[in-house]
Amino acid sequence: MSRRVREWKGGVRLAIIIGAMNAMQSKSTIVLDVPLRGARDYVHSSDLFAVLDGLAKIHLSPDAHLQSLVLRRMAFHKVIAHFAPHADAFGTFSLCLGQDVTEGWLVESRDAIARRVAFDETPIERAAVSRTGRVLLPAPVAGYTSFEQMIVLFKILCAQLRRGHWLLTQMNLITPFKDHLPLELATVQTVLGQLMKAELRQGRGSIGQAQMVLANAAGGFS
Amino acid sequence: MSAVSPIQIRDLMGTIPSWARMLPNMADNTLFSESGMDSLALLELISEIQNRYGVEISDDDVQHISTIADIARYLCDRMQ
Repeated sequence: MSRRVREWKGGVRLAIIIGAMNAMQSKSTIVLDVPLRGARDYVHSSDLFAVLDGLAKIHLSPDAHLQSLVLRRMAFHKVIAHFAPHADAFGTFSLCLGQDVTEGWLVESRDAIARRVAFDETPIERAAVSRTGRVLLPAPVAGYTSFEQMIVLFKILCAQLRRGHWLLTQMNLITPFKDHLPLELATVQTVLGQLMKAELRQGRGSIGQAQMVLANAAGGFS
Repeated sequence: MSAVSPIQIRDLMGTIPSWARMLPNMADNTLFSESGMDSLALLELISEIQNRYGVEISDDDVQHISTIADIARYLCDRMQ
């Protein structure tokens, strides 16, 4: 392939990416179809991850993925993704396609969530191997996404520090999860026994970092 | 002695999105409890302080850190 053709194809790909990003941003808001999970009365990060990652793949490209997710508090109602800053946002996210990043803000609506899905995390707990400061799965657990497995492993890691209700508050991925590879989490930092940062590893390499925080008795961070 | 100034603490806080928004409305002696920040924001601030200055902050110490000026004073004492 000549250099000119390669540059032209690269330019077309860039134009397609920018076009997809603009199209998503022009939607301004998207109501996210998130269910409640198990017995929980709040939206679980696994469901936010799944729907936002799906959003990236549907609206941008099958190669796009959720790069970051920040959650400042729990949400109990339907969630709306905004593609412009919003003062009432309880969280933020970014979708990534190559070098291009689209940022979004998560806002809780007043509409109740009617859908509920079952969730049993015990198969992941049973498969997990826990060492001091490190938790891993020898092999991926069938029937669960990498994110779901990561959350369960992270809770096991946090329980080494202190038992309680730990919530994911931040995740930044260098590369997307690879569902065919087993996960490993290692403690990076702890703060006052209430915050833990962990490195996420798959296939011997770091794929990013995540942060969990111990919620108070009311389930929040007030 | 390593002096840490409130300006340096402000610079650090400016790198934390939840604090960056509040900084223009905070004086060095404004109580964090009066700034509307939650415990998550405080934990993230302590995390960044520990990373930047390499000091471990204990539960007891954190009771005495309630303003930007307090943090600067505390770090000056710890890093002597």
